[in-house]
Amino acid sequence: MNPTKTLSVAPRDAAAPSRVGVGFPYIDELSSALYQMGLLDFVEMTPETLCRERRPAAERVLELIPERLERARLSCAGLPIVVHGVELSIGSAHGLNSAYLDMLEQFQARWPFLWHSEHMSFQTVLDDDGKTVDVGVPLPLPPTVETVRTVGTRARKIKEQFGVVFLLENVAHYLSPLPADPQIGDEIEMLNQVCAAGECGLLLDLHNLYCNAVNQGFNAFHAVDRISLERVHEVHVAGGRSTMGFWTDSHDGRVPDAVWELVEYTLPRCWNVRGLVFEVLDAVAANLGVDVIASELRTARSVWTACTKPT
Amino acid sequence: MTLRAFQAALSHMVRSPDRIKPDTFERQAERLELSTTEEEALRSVVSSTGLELTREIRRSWSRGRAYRAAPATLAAIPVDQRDAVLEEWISANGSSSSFPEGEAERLLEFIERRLRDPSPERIVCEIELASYRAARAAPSSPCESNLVDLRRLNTWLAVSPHASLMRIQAGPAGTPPTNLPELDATQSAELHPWILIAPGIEGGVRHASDPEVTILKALATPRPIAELDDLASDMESLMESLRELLRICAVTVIISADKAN
Repeated sequence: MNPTKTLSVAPRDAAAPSRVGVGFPYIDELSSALYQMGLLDFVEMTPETLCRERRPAAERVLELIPERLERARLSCAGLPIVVHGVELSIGSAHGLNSAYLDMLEQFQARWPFLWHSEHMSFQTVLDDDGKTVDVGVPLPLPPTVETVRTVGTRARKIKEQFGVVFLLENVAHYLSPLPADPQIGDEIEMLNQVCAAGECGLLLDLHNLYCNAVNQGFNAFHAVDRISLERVHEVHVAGGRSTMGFWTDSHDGRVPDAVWELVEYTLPRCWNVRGLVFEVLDAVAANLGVDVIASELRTARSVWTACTKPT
Repeated sequence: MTLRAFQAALSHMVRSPDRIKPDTFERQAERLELSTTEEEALRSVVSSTGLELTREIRRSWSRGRAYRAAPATLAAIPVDQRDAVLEEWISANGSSSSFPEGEAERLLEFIERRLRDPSPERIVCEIELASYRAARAAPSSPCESNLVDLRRLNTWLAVSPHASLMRIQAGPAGTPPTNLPELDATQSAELHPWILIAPGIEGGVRHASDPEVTILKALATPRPIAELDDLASDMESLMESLRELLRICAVTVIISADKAN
């Protein structure tokens, strides 16, 4: 499966940003002790989880809830944070969710972050009356010239707006093959071209890549070889499960061994990588338990240390 | 294919309550003016198990969001009825937003219309709905008690949309009141007191006094203060209750005296 297993750690760019280490999402339902056990170097915040939505007129407004923000700050106990958004819908043809960006500005003023990221997908469309409606689940973008131009332009503006590195994340989906333009070809090339057009970084979710590789029948290691790895600032791993004949990105368990192998293969090649995050779904985190989460974080730490050690 | 056309087609397939039939897809393709190549590319998605899985994930997420929005009501409804009502709600694209609390009132109104009246589950639903209405107003609407001069009799008042007056009528074992022995008014009030939920009440809920019940019932339809004269012999007590109802945002001004003039 792994075509070129042996590789020493790539030399770091002299101007490369400093590495941060191992991270984990902020989950309100979990004991704050998890964030204070010395297992983490940073916390990944999804600020929407600290918000309520209001719709005073036709437009949406996301309001940060002061009590939730304060509770999150106390739990994180001074650890640096990065932002991982879920509500931007950067690929929606009718326009992205500007309420998210307005909220993020307020969030940044109160709690600065090292970098921020979003999923390369869309989750809103216009209905027949021209009103924005939620699809209910994020959907993938087709590898087309229009996608590259649309998302690239928006990503560049976002990077300028917030003044910190902005990353786009590759997504898992079950809708292959999507219609593609021959100039782009496939989703890996789309990822490279969008990040180049947007002058942004890449959040490489290796569990998402693994899901797509298993479900679409391609070699994940070969796919990694085609990705512009110099753009990777953050790597995600997670657990999944088999459902209806697909390996799904359910974020509800331990990271599969095959994904850890992929991490060991990929990390040494990403010389600008700053962090490795183990993701768990909020709703299952408490059931999964602090012990299992801590055990996965220790594995992440040992892989991170081995793979990012300078030669 | 334009990005907009692709997204319209894909989201339609994913949101559709039923599996997409070939003729439905043909009509969709025609409406979006897809080329033959584009139509072929999407046709393979339409017939894929992956689309079925995506639709199932969407429905599962929507169910989860509905449970977050109406936990008490959904817990109170018998399983069969609950599954049916959720199925209907989700098929109508309910609970698609990541902020289910914002949709909670619509969901609870949807459920309320489908529950037997009276029934214990309907009471739970009404209380949950009333709590949302009150909570929605609490941070943003200052109460108007200090702004209203009750001597200006042509000021129009009404029950606030964020307040609810209700009576919990189920018997001790959940028996509907129709099966209870006849009670006189006093006994009934003691056994089944009126409950008031309003943004300005500390804790959100308390019993309503008799004058408050009288006023709130009267103001279910907007009317001027002058018309409240007919409601009680003790006007002073009535006005005191009205001041309190204004203070807790249970009553709101529809037309101020100045504008009425």
